[in-house]
Amino acid sequence: MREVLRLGFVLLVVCAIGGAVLAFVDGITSDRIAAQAAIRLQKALEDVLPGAAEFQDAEELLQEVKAEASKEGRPGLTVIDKMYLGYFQDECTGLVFTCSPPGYGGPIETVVGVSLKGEISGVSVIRHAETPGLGSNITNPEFQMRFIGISKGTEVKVREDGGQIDAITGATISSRAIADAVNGALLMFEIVYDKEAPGNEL
Amino acid sequence: MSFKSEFNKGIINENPAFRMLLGMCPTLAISLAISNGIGMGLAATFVLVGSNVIISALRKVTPGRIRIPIFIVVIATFVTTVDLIMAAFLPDLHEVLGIFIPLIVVNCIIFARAEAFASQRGIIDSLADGLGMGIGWTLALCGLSAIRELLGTGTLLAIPDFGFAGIRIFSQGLAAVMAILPPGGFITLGLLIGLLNLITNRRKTKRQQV
Repeated sequence: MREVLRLGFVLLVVCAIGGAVLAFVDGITSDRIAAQAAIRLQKALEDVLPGAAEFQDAEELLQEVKAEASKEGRPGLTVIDKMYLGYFQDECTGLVFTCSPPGYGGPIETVVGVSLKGEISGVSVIRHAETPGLGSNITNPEFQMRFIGISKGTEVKVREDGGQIDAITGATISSRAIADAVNGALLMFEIVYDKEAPGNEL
Repeated sequence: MSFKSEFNKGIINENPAFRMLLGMCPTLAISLAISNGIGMGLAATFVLVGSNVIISALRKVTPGRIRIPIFIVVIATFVTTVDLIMAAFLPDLHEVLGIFIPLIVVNCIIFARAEAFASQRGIIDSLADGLGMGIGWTLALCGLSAIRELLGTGTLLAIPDFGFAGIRIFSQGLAAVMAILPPGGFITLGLLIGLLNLITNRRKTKRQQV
């Protein structure tokens, strides 16, 4: 009995030290990590909607549309996390959506830009845990280019599912996830665009 | 054993991937491109050296019966610390290596060296062992990756995170995609282990004849 208590105590001490070290490291790094993430997001937003310089979080509008869609039982919008309006000199030039479609190794944080014409202006991946060398090729600009120019009303699918996009070799699931994100963004764009009459509030 | 011999044994004679067959899961899973091999190898080497030194330093106060949970806590703490510090201060490198870091925790090379070596030996020896094993594994990964990347994609040294498509050696049409898929990993690894055994056996018989 005494031996069990002793071993338990030693383990407790080791875990407490480990926990303290992690708490300390987290304390000195969390602010910088958050700042880095904000910089990366801003850069990704600029990448996918070329020309826009300022972005405004449109959380209220997004929640409103999502609530309506779920009331009508329309699927496909759950993939969208956030919506930003992109502005250049006070004029709206397009919408940017951050999405997290399920990939092979968990959700893939994707940013999709849609220009006011309703065409995909850019796709970028900010965080993922896909297989290195196969699924991780979704970060390859050459793959992301395949989605540019697709316009609203089109259903994006990989060729394996009878669609128009060439999937990455050996990574159909990861490619399909990006297609899901693009579909969600196009669908969302259409709803928002119809809602806020063209050039009106946007 | 000196520092040098502890270091050297990890490179060839006790190479973790080719001789001890340790850490097969990450070896097969990530050896698809040379950049992966370097990234994973260096990240694992760093953790291996750190965890070996700490476990060796604690060896006299670690009760034998609960050594395994203690090793796990030390390794996991080390990996998480490396992950957080890298994310905060080296964001670009973290972007490239970030995906490999969670894989280090499940890499049994680190655990095996803690159990078989660091928990019984001095700090300097453990440091040499960690460094040698880490570099030996990095070299093994690079060799395996080079073959698979070349056969599977026709390019070498592609680094997708930097948008670098690699040096094209032959056209994509001639590439055998199977080399970068799981079966290609097993076949290439098997052939490389066989080749290394062949070379060592030849040397041994030659030495006996002399």
